[in-house]
Amino acid sequence: MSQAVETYLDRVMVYANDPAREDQIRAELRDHLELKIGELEERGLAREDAVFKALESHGHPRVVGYGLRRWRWFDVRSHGTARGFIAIGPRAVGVFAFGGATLGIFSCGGLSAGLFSLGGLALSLLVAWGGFAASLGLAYGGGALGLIAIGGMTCGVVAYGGSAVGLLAMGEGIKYTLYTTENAPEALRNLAEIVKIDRTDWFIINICLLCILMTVLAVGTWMQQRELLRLRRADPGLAE
Amino acid sequence: MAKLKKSTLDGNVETMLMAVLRTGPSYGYEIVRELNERAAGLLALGEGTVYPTLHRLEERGWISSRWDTTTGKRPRKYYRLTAKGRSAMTAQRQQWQGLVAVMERVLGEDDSTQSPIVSEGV
Repeated sequence: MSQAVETYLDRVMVYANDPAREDQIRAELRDHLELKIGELEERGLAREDAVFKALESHGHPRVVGYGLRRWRWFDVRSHGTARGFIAIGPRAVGVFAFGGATLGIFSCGGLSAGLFSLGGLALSLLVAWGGFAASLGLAYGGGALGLIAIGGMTCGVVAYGGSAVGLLAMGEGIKYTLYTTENAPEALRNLAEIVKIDRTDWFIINICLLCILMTVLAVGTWMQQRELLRLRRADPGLAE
Repeated sequence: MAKLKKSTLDGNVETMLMAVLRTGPSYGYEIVRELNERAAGLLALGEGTVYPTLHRLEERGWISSRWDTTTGKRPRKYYRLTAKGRSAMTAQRQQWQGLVAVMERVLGEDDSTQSPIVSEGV
C-alpha cells in the first residue's frame, strides 16, 4: 500500500467530509488507484513514477472530494459550488444560498438570483434588493428594474425614484411617465399604493435589509474561513 | 480533433457512463478505461471525477451497485444499469441526437474543410 495513495485519499475524504461513507469511498478509490498503478508499472514505469502519474490522472483531491459530497442540510465550501438547504460558498445553490454568486429561494450575495434576493446585483422573481436590483415583482436598489421599481434610477411599470421611467413614474426628480396618478388605470394605481409607504418606513425597511445583508456576508465569510481552517488542520498540505 | 473541454462535456458524462454500463456490470477503473478507449483519447477527464457522477446516478436509481468481497482480493464495487437508467439513457440519447442534428444544420459546413477558392490569374 502506497503512503502517497493514502495521503491522497485522506485529502479526498477531508473535502468529502462524509464519515458514514468514508470506508466505502476509500476502498473504491484505492482499488482504482492500485489498478492504475499496476497498469503503469506493467508499461515500464518505476513504482514511484507510476504512483505519481496515477494520482495526477485521478484529479485534484478537492474536485473529487467535493464532488463526492452528497446534498446536505448545511453545506459550506471554500471552493466550488455549495449545495444544500443552507448553502454557503463562493457559489451557492440552496433554499438559503449565501456567498459570491448565489441561486436560491432566499439568496444573498455579490450576485444573487432567486425568489427573494439581496446583494450587489440582485435578480429575483418576487423581491430584489441591492446595488442593482431587477425583479418581476418588487425591485429596490440604487438602480432598479421591475414591475414595481423603487430607488435611485428606476425603470418599471410603476417606478418611483430620483430618476424614474415607467407607465406610472413618480418621485421628485426626472420623470418619464405615460400616466399620472390621476389618470392611471385602476390596476396601476393599486400597484402605486405599495410605493406610497411612509418615507420613515422605507428607511427602516432599508436599514433592516442592509443589516441582514451585512450579517449574512459576515457569517458567510466566517463559515468559509472555518471550513478553510478545518481543511488546513486536517492536512497542512491543503493550505494552497 | 481537439480534446473536448469540461464545459462541453458537462451534463453528458452521465450519459457516457451509462452507455458504458449498458454492455454489462463493471467497476470504476474498467468503466474509465472503456470510456477512454471509446473516446479514442479525445476525453480529458480526471479519472477520479467519474466517481461523483457514478454515485449521483446511483442516488437517482439509474444504476445500482454491489461489492465483490471475494476472499483474498481487494474489495471491488460493481455498477450495473437499472431499468430506470436504461429508459433515462434512451431519452438522453434522443436529446443528444436531436441537438447534434440541430447544431449541424445551424453551423453548416466547416469552412476549413472546404477547398480554398482559387482565383484565376488576370
